[in-house]
Amino acid sequence: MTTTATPKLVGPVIRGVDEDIIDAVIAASEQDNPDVEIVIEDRGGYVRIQADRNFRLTQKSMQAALGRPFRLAEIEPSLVSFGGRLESMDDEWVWTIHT
Amino acid sequence: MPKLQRRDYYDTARDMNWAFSYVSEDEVFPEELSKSFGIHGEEWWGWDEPYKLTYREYVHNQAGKDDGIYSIRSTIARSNLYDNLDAGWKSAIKAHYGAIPVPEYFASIGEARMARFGRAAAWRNMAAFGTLDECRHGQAQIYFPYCLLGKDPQFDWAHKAMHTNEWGVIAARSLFDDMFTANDAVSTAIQLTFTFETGFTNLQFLGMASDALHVGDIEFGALISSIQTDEARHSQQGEPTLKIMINNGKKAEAQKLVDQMFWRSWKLFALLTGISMDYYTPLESRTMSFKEFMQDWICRQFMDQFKDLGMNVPWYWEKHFLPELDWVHHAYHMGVWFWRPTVWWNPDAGVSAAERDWLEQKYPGWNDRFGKLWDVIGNNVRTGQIEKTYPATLPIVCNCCHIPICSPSIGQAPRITTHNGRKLNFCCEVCEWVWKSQPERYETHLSVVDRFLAGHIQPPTLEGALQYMGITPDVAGNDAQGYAWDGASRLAAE
Repeated sequence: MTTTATPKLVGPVIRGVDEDIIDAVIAASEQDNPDVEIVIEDRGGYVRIQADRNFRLTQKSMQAALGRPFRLAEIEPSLVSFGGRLESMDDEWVWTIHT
Repeated sequence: MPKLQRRDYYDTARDMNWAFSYVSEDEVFPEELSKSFGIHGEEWWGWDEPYKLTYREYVHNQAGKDDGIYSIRSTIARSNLYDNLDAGWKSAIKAHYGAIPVPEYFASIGEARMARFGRAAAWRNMAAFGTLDECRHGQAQIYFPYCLLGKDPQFDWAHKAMHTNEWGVIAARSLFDDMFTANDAVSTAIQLTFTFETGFTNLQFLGMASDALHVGDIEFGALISSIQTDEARHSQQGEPTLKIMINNGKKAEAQKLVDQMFWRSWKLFALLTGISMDYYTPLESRTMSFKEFMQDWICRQFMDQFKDLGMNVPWYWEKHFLPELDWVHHAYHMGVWFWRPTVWWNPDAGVSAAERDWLEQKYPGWNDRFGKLWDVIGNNVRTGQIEKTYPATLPIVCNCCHIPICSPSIGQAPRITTHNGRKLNFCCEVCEWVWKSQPERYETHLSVVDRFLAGHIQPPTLEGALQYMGITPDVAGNDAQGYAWDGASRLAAE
């Protein structure tokens, strides 16, 4: 990543009425993306929780944030959109923009 | 809960691909339904969806989503939430409910076609989920306005609109037929799931959800944002389809599919979402302007992803698309307000002094371009000459987007051309390009004005036109605020 390039925000956009998931994704994103600035943009009906070009979200961090078992597929009812290209695995989801 | 990790069984459960021996590929995947673009057989088997889901997870998630939205509906059903909403906002949701719910079933037909004629098992699997998703969207978005029918007969158009020849419906149906109901599987993946759902549906379903929460319409905001969670998943059929086309040397063909449908989608969303956000949403509840939502969701998020796949911005980006962000929906809005008896909602002029300031701030030059025209309308209202605020002549309608041509409002002449002896009107160079890039899809279709001139609409008067369009006196639109927006007395109107 070059520091001069325009930031390209990637990562989840969470449904505004699902506050527990918003809070959990914010907490988890800080664990899963150390030393990366997480951009949080609250638009009422939706909240962007994103970072420049690469964003990682793990099952482990989501479980820790929620304090209960959680499979990443269960994020779907709150995941209204996302920036970047997704790779969804059992234990982590990653969003990226390569260019 | 399955004992195995999903990755241990997912590919095996998903990939029911086989090479054909006793039938030809063309018999299984006829070109008109599937369209190979010259890419055959096993070339498609590498299709791999970014957003993975098992059927078990699907059912679990969808049941939870429906529980959520129907319980919100039942919680507020006996409240006066709806009665207290702003009149302009009510118009925005009526426009949505007429334009969107039945086309969700059209989208279901498109998804079902991919579930059968998609060229890889993984794709057909995702499309099967998409087929069910779109049925859910149709059901919920017909049920919710049905519950409001007792409060206002205009909600009848949630079910009725798409069965009529109302002019905006003709425009919407022309787009949706082109993109979902009369499209092949491969083009549907590029146009419906990639262009439309990764890009444009975010505007109406998230942009309006954002405004809904500020307005206090929790029901509508919860409903449409829940729908968008399905779209976020099944829209991901586009990327792997696009990758296979690019990897097989069909980038130019894919680019053309996007360029065509990006433009057609833009025109309809400028009409529906543009007006709803910048005029019907009460000023104090507007989170961003329509242009700002477009810049955020389309120019940035969608284009970042599109370009990351090696694709280019459409050829008309700088010359046509970016300039239209500044004016086209303002012109559409004025036209819709002027022709208000021909729509199933009550257009909100939205041009009070404070609103004009906001418009000028968000769209510098708005006062010069549009404010002065509203001054004339306002003056006619104040002096009791309401008849002058209604149209006396027919508009010219574009034969591609089917929206009345508004380009003269910025000093551009309509583009008039002929095809096989038939006169055609286009609002701009891009609509003409879309039409002429595939005339076989469009040449027998008549615009509402073509129908009028051909004598299909009888008697050839406003009353005859309203009857043809299915507009009855109880739903015909009128000014949402009783003309109170200009400081004019309501009485002037009456």
